[in-house]
Amino acid sequence: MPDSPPPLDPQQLWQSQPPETDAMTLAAIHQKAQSFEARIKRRNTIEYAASAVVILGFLPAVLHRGSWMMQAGGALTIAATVFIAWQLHRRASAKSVPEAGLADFYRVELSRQRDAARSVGVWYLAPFVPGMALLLAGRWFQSHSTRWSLAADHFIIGLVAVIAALVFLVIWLRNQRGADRLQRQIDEL
Amino acid sequence: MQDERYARAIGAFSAALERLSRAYEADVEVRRDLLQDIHFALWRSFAQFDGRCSERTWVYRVAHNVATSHVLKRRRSRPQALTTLDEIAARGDPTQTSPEAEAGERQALRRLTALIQTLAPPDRQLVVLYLEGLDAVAIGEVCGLTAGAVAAKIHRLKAVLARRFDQGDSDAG
Repeated sequence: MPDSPPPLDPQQLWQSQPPETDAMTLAAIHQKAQSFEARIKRRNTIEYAASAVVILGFLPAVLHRGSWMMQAGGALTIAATVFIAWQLHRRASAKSVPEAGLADFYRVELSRQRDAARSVGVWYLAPFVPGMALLLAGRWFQSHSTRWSLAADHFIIGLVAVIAALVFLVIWLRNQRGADRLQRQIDEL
Repeated sequence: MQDERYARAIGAFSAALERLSRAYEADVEVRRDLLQDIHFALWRSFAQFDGRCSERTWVYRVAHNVATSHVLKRRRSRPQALTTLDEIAARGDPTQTSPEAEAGERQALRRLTALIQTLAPPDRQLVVLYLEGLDAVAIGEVCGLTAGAVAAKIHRLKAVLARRFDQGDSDAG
Protein backbone atom coordinates (compact mmCIF):
# COMPACT_ATOMS: atom_id res chain seq x y z
CA MET A 1 0.00 0.00 0.00
CA PRO A 2 1.63 3.29 -1.03
CA ASP A 3 2.29 5.96 1.63
CA SER A 4 -0.30 8.72 1.57
CA PRO A 5 1.23 12.18 1.02
CA PRO A 6 1.77 14.25 4.17
CA PRO A 7 -0.99 16.77 4.90
CA LEU A 8 -0.33 20.20 3.42
CA ASP A 9 0.28 23.05 5.82
CA PRO A 10 -1.85 25.95 4.48
CA GLN A 11 0.34 28.59 6.15
CA GLN A 12 3.50 27.15 4.66
CA LEU A 13 1.78 26.72 1.32
CA TRP A 14 0.60 30.33 1.33
CA GLN A 15 3.92 31.83 2.39
CA SER A 16 5.96 29.79 -0.09
CA GLN A 17 4.43 31.53 -3.13
CA PRO A 18 7.12 32.87 -5.44
CA PRO A 19 7.03 36.66 -6.01
CA GLU A 20 5.32 37.80 -9.20
CA THR A 21 6.53 41.38 -9.42
CA ASP A 22 9.28 43.60 -8.04
CA ALA A 23 8.44 45.97 -5.20
CA MET A 24 7.79 49.57 -6.27
CA THR A 25 10.81 51.82 -5.99
CA LEU A 26 10.58 55.16 -4.21
CA ALA A 27 11.16 56.89 -7.55
CA ALA A 28 8.13 55.07 -8.99
CA ILE A 29 6.09 56.01 -5.93
CA HIS A 30 7.03 59.69 -6.29
CA GLN A 31 6.12 59.56 -9.97
CA LYS A 32 2.76 58.00 -9.11
CA ALA A 33 2.21 60.74 -6.51
CA GLN A 34 2.76 63.39 -9.17
CA SER A 35 0.34 61.80 -11.62
CA PHE A 36 -2.17 61.32 -8.77
CA GLU A 37 -2.05 65.03 -7.95
CA ALA A 38 -2.37 65.88 -11.64
CA ARG A 39 -5.43 63.62 -11.84
CA ILE A 40 -7.04 65.33 -8.84
CA LYS A 41 -6.32 68.74 -10.38
CA ARG A 42 -7.86 67.60 -13.67
CA ARG A 43 -10.95 66.25 -11.90
CA ASN A 44 -11.40 69.51 -9.99
CA THR A 45 -11.02 71.52 -13.19
CA ILE A 46 -13.70 69.42 -14.91
CA GLU A 47 -16.02 69.87 -11.92
CA TYR A 48 -15.51 73.63 -11.91
CA ALA A 49 -16.00 73.79 -15.69
CA ALA A 50 -19.25 71.79 -15.45
CA SER A 51 -20.50 74.12 -12.72
CA ALA A 52 -19.55 77.13 -14.85
CA VAL A 53 -21.55 75.72 -17.78
CA VAL A 54 -24.63 75.27 -15.55
CA ILE A 55 -24.21 78.79 -14.15
CA LEU A 56 -23.94 80.24 -17.66
CA GLY A 57 -26.98 78.19 -18.69
CA PHE A 58 -29.13 79.70 -15.93
CA LEU A 59 -27.70 83.21 -16.16
CA PRO A 60 -30.31 84.32 -18.73
CA ALA A 61 -33.03 83.36 -16.23
CA VAL A 62 -31.32 85.44 -13.52
CA LEU A 63 -31.18 88.40 -15.90
CA HIS A 64 -34.85 87.98 -16.97
CA ARG A 65 -36.26 91.24 -15.66
CA GLY A 66 -39.85 90.43 -16.60
CA SER A 67 -40.19 87.70 -13.97
CA TRP A 68 -38.87 87.88 -10.43
CA MET A 69 -39.82 84.22 -10.00
CA MET A 70 -37.58 83.16 -12.87
CA GLN A 71 -34.79 85.40 -11.60
CA ALA A 72 -35.01 83.87 -8.11
CA GLY A 73 -35.40 80.37 -9.60
CA GLY A 74 -32.29 80.82 -11.75
CA ALA A 75 -30.29 82.13 -8.80
CA LEU A 76 -31.46 79.27 -6.55
CA THR A 77 -30.62 76.68 -9.23
CA ILE A 78 -27.11 78.14 -9.55
CA ALA A 79 -26.76 78.05 -5.76
CA ALA A 80 -27.98 74.43 -5.76
CA THR A 81 -25.41 73.51 -8.44
CA VAL A 82 -22.59 75.03 -6.40
CA PHE A 83 -23.87 73.22 -3.28
CA ILE A 84 -24.05 69.84 -5.07
CA ALA A 85 -20.57 70.32 -6.56
CA TRP A 86 -19.26 71.01 -3.06
CA GLN A 87 -21.10 67.97 -1.68
CA LEU A 88 -19.68 65.68 -4.39
CA HIS A 89 -16.21 67.10 -3.78
CA ARG A 90 -16.54 66.61 -0.01
CA ARG A 91 -17.86 63.07 -0.38
CA ALA A 92 -15.12 62.13 -2.88
CA SER A 93 -12.51 63.43 -0.43
CA ALA A 94 -14.02 61.31 2.35
CA LYS A 95 -13.33 58.23 0.22
CA SER A 96 -9.59 58.56 0.90
CA VAL A 97 -10.32 56.68 4.16
CA PRO A 98 -8.24 53.61 3.11
CA GLU A 99 -5.13 55.55 3.94
CA ALA A 100 -6.32 56.27 7.46
CA GLY A 101 -5.42 52.80 8.67
CA LEU A 102 -8.95 52.25 9.93
CA ALA A 103 -9.56 48.83 11.52
CA ASP A 104 -13.26 48.55 10.63
CA PHE A 105 -13.00 50.02 7.15
CA TYR A 106 -15.39 47.63 5.39
CA ARG A 107 -18.31 48.39 7.70
CA VAL A 108 -17.49 52.12 7.69
CA GLU A 109 -17.31 52.23 3.89
CA LEU A 110 -20.58 50.31 3.45
CA SER A 111 -22.26 52.59 6.00
CA ARG A 112 -20.92 55.68 4.25
CA GLN A 113 -22.28 54.49 0.90
CA ARG A 114 -25.62 53.52 2.49
CA ASP A 115 -26.02 56.93 4.16
CA ALA A 116 -25.14 58.77 0.94
CA ALA A 117 -27.73 56.73 -0.99
CA ARG A 118 -30.39 56.94 1.74
CA SER A 119 -30.12 60.73 2.02
CA VAL A 120 -29.83 61.43 -1.71
CA GLY A 121 -33.20 63.21 -1.56
CA VAL A 122 -31.84 65.70 0.94
CA TRP A 123 -28.37 66.50 -0.40
CA TYR A 124 -28.81 65.90 -4.15
CA LEU A 125 -32.46 66.35 -5.13
CA ALA A 126 -34.02 68.78 -2.63
CA PRO A 127 -31.56 71.66 -3.35
CA PHE A 128 -32.83 71.79 -6.94
CA VAL A 129 -36.55 71.80 -6.03
CA PRO A 130 -37.07 75.46 -4.98
CA GLY A 131 -35.15 76.82 -7.98
CA MET A 132 -36.90 74.54 -10.46
CA ALA A 133 -40.32 75.22 -8.91
CA LEU A 134 -39.78 78.96 -9.14
CA LEU A 135 -38.51 78.71 -12.72
CA LEU A 136 -41.61 76.75 -13.74
CA ALA A 137 -43.92 79.03 -11.76
CA GLY A 138 -42.26 82.05 -13.36
CA ARG A 139 -42.87 80.62 -16.80
CA TRP A 140 -46.46 79.69 -15.88
CA PHE A 141 -47.52 82.99 -14.27
CA GLN A 142 -45.13 85.69 -15.48
CA SER A 143 -43.36 84.86 -18.70
CA HIS A 144 -45.30 83.17 -21.48
CA SER A 145 -43.90 82.26 -24.85
CA THR A 146 -45.13 84.41 -27.73
CA ARG A 147 -44.53 81.60 -30.22
CA TRP A 148 -47.54 79.47 -29.28
CA SER A 149 -50.86 79.72 -27.44
CA LEU A 150 -51.22 80.03 -23.66
CA ALA A 151 -52.77 76.56 -23.45
CA ALA A 152 -49.87 75.01 -25.38
CA ASP A 153 -47.40 76.89 -23.18
CA HIS A 154 -49.07 75.59 -20.03
CA PHE A 155 -49.10 72.08 -21.46
CA ILE A 156 -45.33 72.25 -22.13
CA ILE A 157 -44.60 73.65 -18.67
CA GLY A 158 -46.75 70.92 -17.11
CA LEU A 159 -44.99 68.26 -19.18
CA VAL A 160 -41.54 69.52 -18.13
CA ALA A 161 -42.69 69.49 -14.49
CA VAL A 162 -43.96 65.90 -14.76
CA ILE A 163 -40.76 64.69 -16.50
CA ALA A 164 -38.58 66.42 -13.87
CA ALA A 165 -40.65 64.86 -11.07
CA LEU A 166 -40.34 61.41 -12.67
CA VAL A 167 -36.57 61.75 -13.07
CA PHE A 168 -36.29 62.79 -9.41
CA LEU A 169 -38.49 59.86 -8.36
CA VAL A 170 -36.41 57.33 -10.33
CA ILE A 171 -33.14 58.68 -8.88
CA TRP A 172 -34.60 58.55 -5.37
CA LEU A 173 -36.03 55.02 -5.74
CA ARG A 174 -32.79 53.63 -7.22
CA ASN A 175 -30.82 55.07 -4.34
CA GLN A 176 -33.27 53.72 -1.74
CA ARG A 177 -32.94 50.26 -3.29
CA GLY A 178 -29.15 50.63 -3.21
CA ALA A 179 -29.28 51.69 0.44
CA ASP A 180 -31.42 48.63 1.30
CA ARG A 181 -28.90 46.34 -0.45
CA LEU A 182 -26.01 47.93 1.45
CA GLN A 183 -27.92 47.61 4.73
CA ARG A 184 -28.38 43.88 4.06
CA GLN A 185 -24.62 43.55 3.54
CA ILE A 186 -23.97 45.42 6.80
CA ASP A 187 -26.45 43.19 8.65
CA GLU A 188 -24.63 40.09 7.40
CA LEU A 189 -21.35 41.22 9.00
CA MET B 1 10.56 60.35 7.27
CA GLN B 2 7.65 59.22 5.06
CA ASP B 3 10.08 57.74 2.53
CA GLU B 4 12.12 56.07 5.26
CA ARG B 5 9.07 54.48 6.88
CA TYR B 6 7.77 53.27 3.53
CA ALA B 7 11.16 51.81 2.58
CA ARG B 8 11.40 50.06 5.94
CA ALA B 9 7.87 48.67 5.68
CA ILE B 10 8.42 47.43 2.16
CA GLY B 11 11.68 45.80 3.19
CA ALA B 12 9.72 43.77 5.72
CA PHE B 13 6.33 43.27 4.06
CA SER B 14 6.78 43.45 0.30
CA ALA B 15 6.22 39.73 -0.24
CA ALA B 16 3.28 39.65 2.19
CA LEU B 17 1.61 42.53 0.35
CA GLU B 18 1.96 40.72 -2.93
CA ARG B 19 0.37 37.63 -1.44
CA LEU B 20 -2.38 39.82 0.02
CA SER B 21 -3.12 41.24 -3.44
CA ARG B 22 -3.55 37.67 -4.74
CA ALA B 23 -6.23 37.11 -2.13
CA TYR B 24 -8.19 40.06 -3.50
CA GLU B 25 -7.75 39.89 -7.26
CA ALA B 26 -7.52 36.90 -9.57
CA ASP B 27 -6.67 38.76 -12.78
CA VAL B 28 -2.89 39.17 -13.08
CA GLU B 29 -2.93 42.56 -14.82
CA VAL B 30 -5.55 44.05 -12.50
CA ARG B 31 -3.68 42.57 -9.55
CA ARG B 32 -0.53 44.43 -10.59
CA ASP B 33 -2.50 47.69 -10.54
CA LEU B 34 -4.01 46.81 -7.18
CA LEU B 35 -0.57 46.11 -5.74
CA GLN B 36 0.67 49.48 -7.02
CA ASP B 37 -2.34 51.17 -5.44
CA ILE B 38 -1.55 49.44 -2.15
CA HIS B 39 2.07 50.60 -2.30
CA PHE B 40 1.03 54.14 -3.14
CA ALA B 41 -1.61 54.28 -0.40
CA LEU B 42 0.93 52.92 2.05
CA TRP B 43 3.47 55.58 1.13
CA ARG B 44 0.81 58.29 1.47
CA SER B 45 -0.44 56.84 4.74
CA PHE B 46 2.95 57.12 6.39
CA ALA B 47 2.55 60.91 6.26
CA GLN B 48 -0.15 60.47 8.93
CA PHE B 49 1.24 57.49 10.82
CA ASP B 50 1.10 58.43 14.50
CA GLY B 51 2.74 55.39 16.06
CA ARG B 52 -0.37 54.41 18.03
CA CYS B 53 -0.12 50.93 16.56
CA SER B 54 2.80 48.93 15.25
CA GLU B 55 4.02 49.46 11.70
CA ARG B 56 2.98 45.92 10.87
CA THR B 57 -0.61 46.57 12.03
CA TRP B 58 -0.67 49.82 10.06
CA VAL B 59 0.66 48.19 6.90
CA TYR B 60 -1.91 45.38 6.99
CA ARG B 61 -4.80 47.77 7.77
CA VAL B 62 -3.96 50.14 4.94
CA ALA B 63 -3.35 47.30 2.49
CA HIS B 64 -6.59 45.56 3.43
CA ASN B 65 -8.58 48.79 3.22
CA VAL B 66 -7.27 49.58 -0.25
CA ALA B 67 -7.97 46.01 -1.35
CA THR B 68 -11.48 46.18 0.17
CA SER B 69 -12.17 49.38 -1.78
CA HIS B 70 -10.99 47.50 -4.85
CA VAL B 71 -13.37 44.60 -4.15
CA LEU B 72 -16.30 46.97 -3.58
CA LYS B 73 -15.54 48.78 -6.84
CA ARG B 74 -15.18 45.52 -8.79
CA ARG B 75 -18.43 44.19 -7.33
CA ARG B 76 -20.29 47.19 -8.71
CA SER B 77 -19.08 46.39 -12.22
CA ARG B 78 -18.92 42.57 -11.89
CA PRO B 79 -21.35 41.41 -9.18
CA GLN B 80 -20.17 38.22 -7.51
CA ALA B 81 -21.66 36.52 -4.47
CA LEU B 82 -19.29 36.56 -1.52
CA THR B 83 -19.59 34.26 1.43
CA THR B 84 -18.39 33.93 5.01
CA LEU B 85 -16.32 31.38 6.89
CA ASP B 86 -19.44 30.26 8.76
CA GLU B 87 -21.27 29.53 5.52
CA ILE B 88 -18.33 27.60 4.09
CA ALA B 89 -18.05 25.59 7.32
CA ALA B 90 -21.77 24.78 7.15
CA ARG B 91 -22.35 24.28 3.43
CA GLY B 92 -18.96 23.36 2.05
CA ASP B 93 -16.29 24.96 -0.08
CA PRO B 94 -17.76 26.50 -3.27
CA THR B 95 -14.40 26.09 -5.03
CA GLN B 96 -14.06 22.37 -4.34
CA THR B 97 -13.28 20.29 -7.40
CA SER B 98 -12.83 16.56 -7.93
CA PRO B 99 -10.30 14.69 -5.73
CA GLU B 100 -8.15 14.00 -8.81
CA ALA B 101 -7.62 17.70 -9.27
CA GLU B 102 -6.24 17.99 -5.76
CA ALA B 103 -2.83 16.48 -6.46
CA GLY B 104 0.12 18.75 -6.03
CA GLU B 105 0.86 21.90 -4.11
CA ARG B 106 0.18 24.13 -7.08
CA GLN B 107 -3.41 22.99 -7.35
CA ALA B 108 -3.78 23.19 -3.60
CA LEU B 109 -2.50 26.77 -3.65
CA ARG B 110 -4.77 27.64 -6.54
CA ARG B 111 -7.75 26.27 -4.64
CA LEU B 112 -6.74 27.98 -1.44
CA THR B 113 -6.49 31.30 -3.28
CA ALA B 114 -9.81 30.72 -5.02
CA LEU B 115 -11.43 29.89 -1.68
CA ILE B 116 -10.11 33.10 -0.13
CA GLN B 117 -11.36 35.13 -3.08
CA THR B 118 -14.94 34.00 -2.42
CA LEU B 119 -14.91 35.40 1.11
CA ALA B 120 -16.37 38.74 2.16
CA PRO B 121 -13.59 41.25 2.96
CA PRO B 122 -13.62 40.95 6.79
CA ASP B 123 -13.21 37.15 6.69
CA ARG B 124 -10.75 37.44 3.83
CA GLN B 125 -8.60 39.79 5.89
CA LEU B 126 -8.63 37.40 8.81
CA VAL B 127 -7.73 34.38 6.69
CA VAL B 128 -4.84 36.19 4.98
CA LEU B 129 -3.43 37.35 8.31
CA TYR B 130 -3.72 33.83 9.71
CA LEU B 131 -1.96 32.41 6.66
CA GLU B 132 0.75 35.04 7.09
CA GLY B 133 1.37 33.55 10.53
CA LEU B 134 0.02 36.33 12.77
CA ASP B 135 -1.39 35.24 16.13
CA ALA B 136 -4.94 35.98 17.34
CA VAL B 137 -3.92 39.10 19.29
CA ALA B 138 -2.07 40.60 16.31
CA ILE B 139 -4.94 39.73 13.94
CA GLY B 140 -7.42 41.29 16.37
CA GLU B 141 -5.38 44.49 16.45
CA VAL B 142 -5.40 44.75 12.64
CA CYS B 143 -9.08 43.84 12.24
CA GLY B 144 -10.45 45.67 15.26
CA LEU B 145 -11.71 42.43 16.85
CA THR B 146 -11.15 40.86 20.25
CA ALA B 147 -8.62 38.04 20.46
CA GLY B 148 -11.50 35.73 21.50
CA ALA B 149 -13.55 36.54 18.42
CA VAL B 150 -10.49 36.00 16.22
CA ALA B 151 -9.70 32.69 17.95
CA ALA B 152 -13.27 31.45 17.33
CA LYS B 153 -13.07 32.36 13.66
CA ILE B 154 -9.63 30.79 13.29
CA HIS B 155 -10.99 27.62 14.86
CA ARG B 156 -13.68 27.46 12.14
CA LEU B 157 -11.13 28.38 9.49
CA LYS B 158 -8.80 25.58 10.55
CA ALA B 159 -11.66 23.11 10.29
CA VAL B 160 -12.43 24.30 6.76
CA LEU B 161 -8.76 24.19 5.74
CA ALA B 162 -8.24 20.77 7.30
CA ARG B 163 -11.13 19.38 5.28
CA ARG B 164 -9.66 20.89 2.12
CA PHE B 165 -6.01 20.04 2.57
CA ASP B 166 -5.68 17.05 4.84
CA GLN B 167 -5.32 14.26 2.28
CA GLY B 168 -6.19 11.63 4.87
CA ASP B 169 -9.52 13.26 5.65
CA SER B 170 -12.63 11.42 4.48
CA ASP B 171 -14.16 14.62 3.07
CA ALA B 172 -13.79 13.44 -0.51
CA GLY B 173 -15.55 10.22 0.03
